[in-house]
Amino acid sequence: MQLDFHYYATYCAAYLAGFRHEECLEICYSAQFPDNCTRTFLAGVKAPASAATTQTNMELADVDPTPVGLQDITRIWASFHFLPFDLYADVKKGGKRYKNKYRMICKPNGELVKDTVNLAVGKSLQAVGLSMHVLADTWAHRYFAGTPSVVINSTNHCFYEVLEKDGEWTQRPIEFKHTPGEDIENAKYINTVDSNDENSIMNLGHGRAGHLPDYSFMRYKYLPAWNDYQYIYKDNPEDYYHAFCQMIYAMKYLRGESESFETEVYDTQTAAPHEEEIKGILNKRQTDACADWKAFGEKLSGCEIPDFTVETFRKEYAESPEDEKDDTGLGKFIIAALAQKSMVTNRIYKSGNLLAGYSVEYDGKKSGIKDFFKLLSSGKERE
Amino acid sequence: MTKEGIITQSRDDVRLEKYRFAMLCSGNAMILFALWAIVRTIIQLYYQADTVIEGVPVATLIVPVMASGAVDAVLKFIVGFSARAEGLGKRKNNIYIVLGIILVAMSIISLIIWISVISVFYKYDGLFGIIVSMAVEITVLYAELTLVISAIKVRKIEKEMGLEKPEERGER
Repeated sequence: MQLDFHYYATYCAAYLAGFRHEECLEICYSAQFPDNCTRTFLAGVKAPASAATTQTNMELADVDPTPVGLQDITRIWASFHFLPFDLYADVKKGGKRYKNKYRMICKPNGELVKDTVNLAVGKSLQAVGLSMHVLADTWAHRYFAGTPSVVINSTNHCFYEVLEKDGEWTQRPIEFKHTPGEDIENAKYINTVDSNDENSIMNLGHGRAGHLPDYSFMRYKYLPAWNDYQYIYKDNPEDYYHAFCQMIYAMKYLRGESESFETEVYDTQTAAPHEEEIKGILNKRQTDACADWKAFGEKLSGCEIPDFTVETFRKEYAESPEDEKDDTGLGKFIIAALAQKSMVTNRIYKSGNLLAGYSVEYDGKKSGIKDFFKLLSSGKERE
Repeated sequence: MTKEGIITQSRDDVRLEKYRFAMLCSGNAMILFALWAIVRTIIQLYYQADTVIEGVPVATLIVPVMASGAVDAVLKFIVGFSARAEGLGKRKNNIYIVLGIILVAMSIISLIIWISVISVFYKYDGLFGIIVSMAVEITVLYAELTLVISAIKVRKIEKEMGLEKPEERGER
């Protein structure tokens, strides 16, 4: 997913969930920010680098393909963009290494989504926004893993766009290229370069499928390496609508409207009066739906939604005194990001999978937890 | 076409994809082995031109060695590129399967001859040379067999499914 859904659509879902305009803006800003919070950005404002929620291409190219480097990549991408569906999945074939990679595959409605939403209970609006980013991405990024892997993430020439016009369904082959410019009309899209190296960053997430999972209008089928020669069909308009309705349900829960958050529950009732309009936006063949979502959001609330810019967080954080930084938007976002990363890494480690590295329970000492000391100290302050 | 028709796969569809993928991989392997056949022939002639094996100077074998190397490479190129194209769903012909069977027969015969004179090779190449050569020859034979069997299976499954025309087979 990209700016149009993470920022504008999350604003709309938050508003429908009952948040006020100002609250919606804080939520949707933090729902988009995981795609911008890189180490480069954090270094620029002297914030803890361990709170990074994404990596730039340059940062990825700079990573050593050692186990430690790959664990760092996995911690970031699995925690915020490719939440594993089932860390204990029953895998019939392959050795331990294959099983560990397979268990990192992202899908919606897993136990970790529940944990992610619950982690935001009683926390800041930034934590709510961040959890909505993770939840929404489980729909868009389903069937891909947040760790470099040929055996999971690679695709081949069997890649088709599925089109529907007046009830008639057709398919056409998709051609991938490495030159700038998406060509929707002729089904030519950009993807990462083919690499047979299991640990190459070219095989991270949905890189080999290009931006297709990020376009709400896209319906496609392809042959993933892990599915025993069976095609995967991906219906983005349907998935995105489910994501939207699940966000409404989750945010209503976070506002205290329901007792618990259950998976596979979608608040279609709240979205129903706007269903036609929402599906109209989702089905429109465009690579950027910002304008349509913005217009819909402004119609809903009657207020203007400012354009997204990272400067909002940067400026506030940079101008705050040292002892007040944790109370800024970015400060709260950093705490939420560290909590999410810590929780997901811990779950992966406890499942016996070392792809995200080691994770220890805090023993009350500062040793070995330098990266997450910010999270610990913020917890102590709250106590 | 209906949505179900596009997104639903029968058991035969899955098998078809499996064998097509096997054709693509073994076709690629054939192309690489063809390149290797060329390189190997050149290396043999360059480094062993002055050698005398069992009283026969290698220099006198230049023409037959080059001819057999060229035939081997050309056959592998034809079979490899054809299988690759079919695996990618581009075009289809049947001649290369016959050539593939000829390659399999040639590989088996050369393997038998090679084993029968293994003591000679041991004398000149040593144990390591024999192991490497054996591994390469067996891999070539495995790739050729995979290619031929996959091509035959693809045709059989397509016939069972009634995919007679190129567009029905999904050829691009």
